[in-house]
Amino acid sequence: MKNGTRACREAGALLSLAVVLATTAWVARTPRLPLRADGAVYRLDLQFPAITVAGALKLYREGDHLFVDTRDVDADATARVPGAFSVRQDSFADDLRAVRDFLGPADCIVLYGDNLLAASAVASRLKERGYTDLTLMRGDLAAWRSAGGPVAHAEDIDD
Amino acid sequence: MTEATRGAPRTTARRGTAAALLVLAARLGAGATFLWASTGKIADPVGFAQAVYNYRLVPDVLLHPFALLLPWLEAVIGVALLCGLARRGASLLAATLTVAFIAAISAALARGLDITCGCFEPGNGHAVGLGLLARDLALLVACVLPLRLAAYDRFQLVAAARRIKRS
Repeated sequence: MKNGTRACREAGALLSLAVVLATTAWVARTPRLPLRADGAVYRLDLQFPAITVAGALKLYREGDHLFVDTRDVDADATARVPGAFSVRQDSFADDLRAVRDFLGPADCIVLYGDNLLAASAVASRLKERGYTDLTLMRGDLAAWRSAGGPVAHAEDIDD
Repeated sequence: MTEATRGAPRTTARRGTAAALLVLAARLGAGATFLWASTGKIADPVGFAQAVYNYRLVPDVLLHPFALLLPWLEAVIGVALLCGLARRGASLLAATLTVAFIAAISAALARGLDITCGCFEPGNGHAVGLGLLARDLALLVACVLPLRLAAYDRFQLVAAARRIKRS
């Protein structure tokens, strides 16, 4: 009983210390995270199913899904998921026109990018154009590589 | 005194040392895990808030306060367990948090959510699955041991400092 009381008292003290540290860190940090979360910011990516890198890798190996790289980089000059089409937010119309013959509205598509929100933004625009089977990958290319996913380099793509 | 009764205290002492080492290993292991887990979340509170949101268990109004407080609580628990400070309270908090994590992971599994756990790196963590559940159960054992066998926990930084001061 005595030990239980002591454990609770110590736990209360540690919890108080954590509250003080968290408050100090929150005050000192800029930009400061608003205390009240806007759920819409977090819900944005959930308009589409989001899967883990392991889940995406499974779909890649099954071979039924096409991959779309949404990173805002010259994807032809950098590494990417083998066979992935580059469709970027900033040059969406041009990029889609370039790959339209290979990437149809009926295809099952997995989108990835630097973050989930970037992939989600491209997915939203694809949805407007009639694409229906869109899935987002949680995690970037580095996470894909860490999970053992294959990566095509620029020289492979040129071939 | 027979041979058997003369050997008994030695056996008891050996058991005591084994228990002390077990408690120490559990406490240091749990402490290091909690401290390590806190660093990525403290560095990326937005990413951690997203990871918490994905479980769909925390209401929007509590999301950011929770995402801001939990990493610091983990850091405090980690340091306390590693140093042997307020170790009963730290073990109690660690065990409580781990039970909450197990409940959250079980709820996500039951609802078929394909999400990352957000345990260490908010953006690129392990996928929620049975392996993660097993890992958290092992962590729960490591958290409960120092609480149940507190009498055997002889290796503490504060006590050692006091001994050095006295000598």
